Amino acid sequence: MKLSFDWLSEYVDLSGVSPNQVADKLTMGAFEVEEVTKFGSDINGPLVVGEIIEINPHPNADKIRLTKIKIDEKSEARQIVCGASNIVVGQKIPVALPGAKVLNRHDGSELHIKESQIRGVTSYGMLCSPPELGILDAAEASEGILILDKETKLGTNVIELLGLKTDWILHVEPRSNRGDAMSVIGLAREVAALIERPLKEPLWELGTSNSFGEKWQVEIQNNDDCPFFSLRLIDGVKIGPSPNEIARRLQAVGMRPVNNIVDITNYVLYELGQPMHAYDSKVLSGEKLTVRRAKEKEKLHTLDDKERALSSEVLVIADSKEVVGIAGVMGGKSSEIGNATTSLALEAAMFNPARVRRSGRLLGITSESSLRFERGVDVAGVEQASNRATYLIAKYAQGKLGKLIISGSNKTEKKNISLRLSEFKRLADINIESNTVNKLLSPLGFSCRENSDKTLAIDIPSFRQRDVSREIDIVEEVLRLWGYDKVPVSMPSPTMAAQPVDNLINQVVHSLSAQGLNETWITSLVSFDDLTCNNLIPVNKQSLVSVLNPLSAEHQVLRISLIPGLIKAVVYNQNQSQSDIWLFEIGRIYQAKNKQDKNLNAIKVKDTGTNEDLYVAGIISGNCPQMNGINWTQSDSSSNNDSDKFFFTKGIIENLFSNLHISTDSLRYEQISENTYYHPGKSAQVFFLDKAGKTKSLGYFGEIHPAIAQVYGLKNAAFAFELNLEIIKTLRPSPTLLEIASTPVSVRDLSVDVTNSINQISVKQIIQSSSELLINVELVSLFPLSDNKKSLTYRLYFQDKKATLTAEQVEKQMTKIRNSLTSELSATFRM
Amino acid sequence: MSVNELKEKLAQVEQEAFKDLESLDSMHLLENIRLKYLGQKGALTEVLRGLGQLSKEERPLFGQLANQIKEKIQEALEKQRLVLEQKELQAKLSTEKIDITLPAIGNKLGHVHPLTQISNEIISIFGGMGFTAVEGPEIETDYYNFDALNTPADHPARDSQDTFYTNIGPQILLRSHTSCVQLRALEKQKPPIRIISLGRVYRNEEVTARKYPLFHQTDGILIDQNVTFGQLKGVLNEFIRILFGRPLKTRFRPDFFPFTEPSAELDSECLFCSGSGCRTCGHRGWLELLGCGMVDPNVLAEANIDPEKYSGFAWGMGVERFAMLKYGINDIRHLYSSDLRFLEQF
Ligand SMILES: [Zn+2]
Repeated sequence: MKLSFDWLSEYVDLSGVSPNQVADKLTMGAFEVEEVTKFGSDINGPLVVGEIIEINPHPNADKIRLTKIKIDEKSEARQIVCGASNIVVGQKIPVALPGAKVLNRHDGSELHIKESQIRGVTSYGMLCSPPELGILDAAEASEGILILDKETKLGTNVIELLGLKTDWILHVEPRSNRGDAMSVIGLAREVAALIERPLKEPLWELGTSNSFGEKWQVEIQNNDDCPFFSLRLIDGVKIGPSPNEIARRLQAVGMRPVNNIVDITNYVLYELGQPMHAYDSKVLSGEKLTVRRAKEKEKLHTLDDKERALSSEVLVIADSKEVVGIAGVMGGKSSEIGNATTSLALEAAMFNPARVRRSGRLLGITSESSLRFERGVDVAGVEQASNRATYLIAKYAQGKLGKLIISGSNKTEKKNISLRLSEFKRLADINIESNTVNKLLSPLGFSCRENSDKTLAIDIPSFRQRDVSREIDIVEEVLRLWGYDKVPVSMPSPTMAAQPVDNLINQVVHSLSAQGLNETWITSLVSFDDLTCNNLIPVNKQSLVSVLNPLSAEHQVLRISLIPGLIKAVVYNQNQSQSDIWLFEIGRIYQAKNKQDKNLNAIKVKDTGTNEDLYVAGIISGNCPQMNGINWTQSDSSSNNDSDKFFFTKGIIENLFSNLHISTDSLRYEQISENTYYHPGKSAQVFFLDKAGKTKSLGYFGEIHPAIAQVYGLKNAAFAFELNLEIIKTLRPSPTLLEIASTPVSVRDLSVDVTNSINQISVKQIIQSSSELLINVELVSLFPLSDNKKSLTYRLYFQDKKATLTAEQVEKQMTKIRNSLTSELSATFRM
Repeated sequence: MSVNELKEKLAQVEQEAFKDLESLDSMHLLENIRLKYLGQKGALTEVLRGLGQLSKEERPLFGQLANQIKEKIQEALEKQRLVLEQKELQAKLSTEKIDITLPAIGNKLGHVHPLTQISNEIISIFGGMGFTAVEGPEIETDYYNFDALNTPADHPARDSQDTFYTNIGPQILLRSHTSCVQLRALEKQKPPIRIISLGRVYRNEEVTARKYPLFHQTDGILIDQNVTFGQLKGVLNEFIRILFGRPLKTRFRPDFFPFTEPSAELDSECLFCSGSGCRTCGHRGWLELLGCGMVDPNVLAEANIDPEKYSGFAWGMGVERFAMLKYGINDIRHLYSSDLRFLEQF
């Protein structure tokens, strides 16, 4: 909320206090001031009221004239050159004398007035137009000089006369629980308490009312929706521009002046926090207003010129014919105050905050009025506010006071809270005495009485009954005024050790980053197009979790895989001329459960009906490093072909498992076709084989499907993997040491020729199961043969953990292995 | 041959051998010399052939002499071998020289995302103060996200957390803060409780340099007997000191949050201008860091903890905010860009 320093100073004496000091006090007193800005122009005197005595033509120019201006009775009239055409002798006008600072009327820049020669004639000052004085939206704004009232005294200071002083605007963060402080008076009360000066309440005086409007009635259909409703009838109003000070203050807080009536309702809304609405009473039908829910199919053309379809959730004000306003939110266009209006029905009421919020939400309207009703207005203050507005209307629009019609009750219950002073000790380790509590709280309208039992009985003012209802609320109120900074700092007693965090995520991060992949974090809220890779991935719509109120299509549905995000990340980097793009992400994927025991009307729904599972996924695009050590691959080291990248990706996965102490011997790979993110011929599903021989799927890896690569514009084949960390989490054994045997290891190479259709793993498994003395089997080379055959060379490591193996023993094992391979795979051997 | 003649021959062999050794300058000729004098057909062996002609008495004496000379030659050979070896090593070292400024070879390492780094740091600092990390779902129910946190439906405080609602049901939403994790934990634990949670939250906001529709929060809560506001100040000051590596001036500014009372916003002196005012702090000299307060008695009661017996404090803060402050990141979108030029700086 914008708070005008000038306006504020009407209710608290701010002499000797700067706007920044007030801002600091408010900030440390729970009302954060985000910034302090200057409003209005920096206009300086001497700037006085003068009278035009003579107007003569300029000897050297047609469009400008010479004037003689008198600025006081004693001294001689001075000569001022003027180009405006609207001046006549006898007018009172603002005169800027040499030394004054006004504004350039074209661009608002500073204009310093001095004696000057204008076409050979000396001018001793300047007659001012409204823009030159920083008066922007004046209703009579024209090209000419500002003409003042004839009765104005010569020599009067124009800055004071027109209220041209600079104002400072404090931008106060509104607090959702403090509707009472969404007003100048509310913040003035806080400031008064914080700087320890008295609060001055706004004044009004009402004459006796006439009988105008005595037949009017108001009806509230449901007191829950509207506890209190008042309507003041006012006759004989003259619509016109607002007085300068009201217009200026409204502008200062960002409201556009409209006319005196509308401005006064806005002024009181801002001043007291009570929203109000003025109807042109002649336009209303039936001399009766009803507060009720809208009927289905009812409509209202609102003040902002929009047609609104209403429903029974919306609370409205209706005359005998139709809806004329949305209660607490916005009025209707038809009963708007216009230039022809002469009589008013001025509504001031208290509406249910939740109902106003609901109405505003449904219609998509937030107004200054709804903001305040939602936070709660003080029912006890409604009538005062109405009287204040009526007073101003009588004063500035010549309104004649008619009847005040009311319905409902504006009485508030007296509420008091018992406060134990020991609570300050318990919650903040400080001692606060009852007189301190009294001194801190009474400027805010609380009153305290001491009870005999070391407690205080505290009466809550009506305007604070919404946010202060419990002892703890009082404790907070006292502490913030006493000063949080004075609460002594200590530490909790060190009685607990934290349970260690499961470091799975960090193990994965370290393993993958050590292997050269960069970690990234990607949005989990994606577009439907990315979720399905532009319809290439079939999805079960029932299982998706999507948001009902997305701000953009980009963030609409929770992801079901980490892969599309990584593909987009590769494309993004590719477009930044990066070539080797290796990335991984650890994150959740989301799914609705199949069967939901939805109890939608339950009060405390605790089950979300969804699953969130943690995954890790990675992508490799660009070159792989050249592999050193044993390299069975076919490609020469410079070419880096795509099938190598598949096995490189497989290596990343196996290294990761190895870091997690999951033996690669327990992994199984199967060719897949149903996972549509991957190339069907170059992808695999990874399984974990437990000791009981059961398998669990851990995830997938392989080349990104060429169709997807094309849709996203991947330049090169990219390889990706995605693994389920929820399952991996359950598999990690803690390592236990196997004895390191000291007997020598015998190494033999074995070249096995088999037909192409036989997978490497079948060969390896037969070798492994054919000898108990084998401790390791490695594939060291692979090359194709003619006749649809291939040759696989393995390096076999034999060891007997108890004794040294003889050459004969090893040869016996080799024979066994060869025999098995021959009988099971028809393998042949070469030396 | 007589003893004397043989002795003479021996002396001659010795002399020649030493002479040969002296002039030797190459390692591979060393073996030739050994063979020439000590080999089976060597000069010394040749002399020893004459041994048979000597008398029984003369043999041992001569044998002894011959052995002495053999040992002498062997010793000299060995000595010369060491000299030559040293010489050859020197020669090798003086020629083998590489350009050590050529680039390193090997896999480039990957980098760990700044949000991972800051998250680990936060969890470990609070871990040191006894707070155990817990997790909870990102898809939440209205109850845990709002109702149990003292924010009933139609409370305007819900405005400040524009919430995404989902197709799953009217009460199922994307959590707008991580405090719900604490509530789920409070249902299962009894005081004393010290937990923190860190995770992803969602707010229905436009993407800007400072806002993203999802971000991360970390929340902590401590519940025990005799827990005070001063302890809250102590714990958070300590956190700030360790995270930023130096004690920073802080202030606790009153604020309002539905689930704490009293509530405060914690500001620290600006890291960039030390309080004198700069663009980052909006010329205020202070940076808003986090929200905190004493746990509202309603929240304790909702979790079946007696607010008369126990009290507690809690705080919540944006993880991105701290990462941005600590690493000087000026646009939140960098964190979700996957841009290698960004990632490789961490
Ligand atoms: Zn700064």
